[in-house]
Amino acid sequence: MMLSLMLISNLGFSQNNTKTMDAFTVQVDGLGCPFCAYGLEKKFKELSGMKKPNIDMETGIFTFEFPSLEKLSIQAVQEQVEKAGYTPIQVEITRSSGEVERSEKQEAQQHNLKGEMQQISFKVEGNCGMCKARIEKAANTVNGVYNAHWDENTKLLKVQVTKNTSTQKEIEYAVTKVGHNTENSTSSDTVYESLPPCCKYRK
Amino acid sequence: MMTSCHSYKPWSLRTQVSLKGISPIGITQLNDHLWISDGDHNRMVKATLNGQILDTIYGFDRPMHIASYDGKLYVPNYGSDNIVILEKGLVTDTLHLNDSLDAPSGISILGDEIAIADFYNHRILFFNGIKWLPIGREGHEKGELYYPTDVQLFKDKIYVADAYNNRIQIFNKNGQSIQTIGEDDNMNASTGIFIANENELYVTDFEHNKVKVYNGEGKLIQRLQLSLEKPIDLIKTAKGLMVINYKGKTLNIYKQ
Repeated sequence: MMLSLMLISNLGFSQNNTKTMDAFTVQVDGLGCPFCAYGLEKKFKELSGMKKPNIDMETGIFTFEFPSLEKLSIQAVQEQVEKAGYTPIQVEITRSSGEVERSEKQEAQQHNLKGEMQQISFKVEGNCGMCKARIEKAANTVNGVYNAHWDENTKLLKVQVTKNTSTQKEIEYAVTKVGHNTENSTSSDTVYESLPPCCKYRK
Repeated sequence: MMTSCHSYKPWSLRTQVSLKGISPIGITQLNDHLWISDGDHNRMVKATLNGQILDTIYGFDRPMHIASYDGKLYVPNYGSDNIVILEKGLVTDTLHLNDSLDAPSGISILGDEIAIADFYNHRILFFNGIKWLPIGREGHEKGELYYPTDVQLFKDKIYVADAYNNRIQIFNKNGQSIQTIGEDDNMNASTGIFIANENELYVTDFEHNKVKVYNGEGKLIQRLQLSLEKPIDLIKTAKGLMVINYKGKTLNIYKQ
């Protein structure tokens, strides 16, 4: 009788501790307001099964859980963030097995810790949040560039680049191609004129 | 005061009321009370015109910029794409649409007319008393919208908080854009609007912690910037100008 109780008890303990959910931590750029945060949450609700969503607007960190059986991938998470209108910066998944998966940029940060990356910074002209998104997106398209960050106040673009890949000149070229003058390069008038009114930085 | 205007009296902050844990998104007046939507906590809150909390109703799904008309409250449920109607504090109906919304963020009622800010569809859905008309499409040019968050019907015009184009955009009721306001004033997320009359337009500049007042020509006539923490919506009442601060969880009351 006592043995049976112990077995049942242990069985229950085991079942309660069998993790069935993967834990997701996503850093999202552009989550400035509740419309954005609730919007992101709404788009993830379309993935049936999401639990415990939580969004910290100060840090842009979005956490949630998802059934392990679904094997929701980093790419699927990134696509859903983009569908909501925002830019995924980092994704980390802790699978129910304990295995941790990270997105490419986080892997790049790990390289950075090992001294395999260098920082390049230079000034880029622009005005607003839309400029910021455009500039960073253009810089991020350059081979070897990770974590492009443009500051609206200082106008300084800082990028992390894997050593021996891209040069500052290549990054500046990518940014001018989308309409923004840099320290050493000027965007064409045609591209500049196509920018939205709020992004017109030339006086 | 930015410029002289003989009929406009500038506002000054009279008091700031703590909303005690409410994360306010939208504000409207019904009879002698304020109603505030609390998006973070999925509830509607009834308060006095001095900001004292009287009642709370739960069960919403990210309620956003609300409206009142003819004794009823209209609450857009951003998370579940519907508009709930409340009467005497009870949910009585949902608005019947022939079109699908994707994150309704604001609503306005005027007689038989209804306008809904349809956030992810980058449009206003307008019912002219006979049929529904979509107004605007995604973009940054005149006539286009980029994540609209609020709307107000006023006389023969539709005023839109064209939030991420950082402007107010005004349409006629045929859906044609007739004016944009505030584009050159360095706004960042124009989330909430209130039209007191055709010559007195209010808008919250969410990211820059400001409230701006424009005349009908689009000229900035006052900029409020003290004690604002992510202002998200506002309303002018007989008791003053009421501005809710999302981050500050406060209600600012201004007097002339």
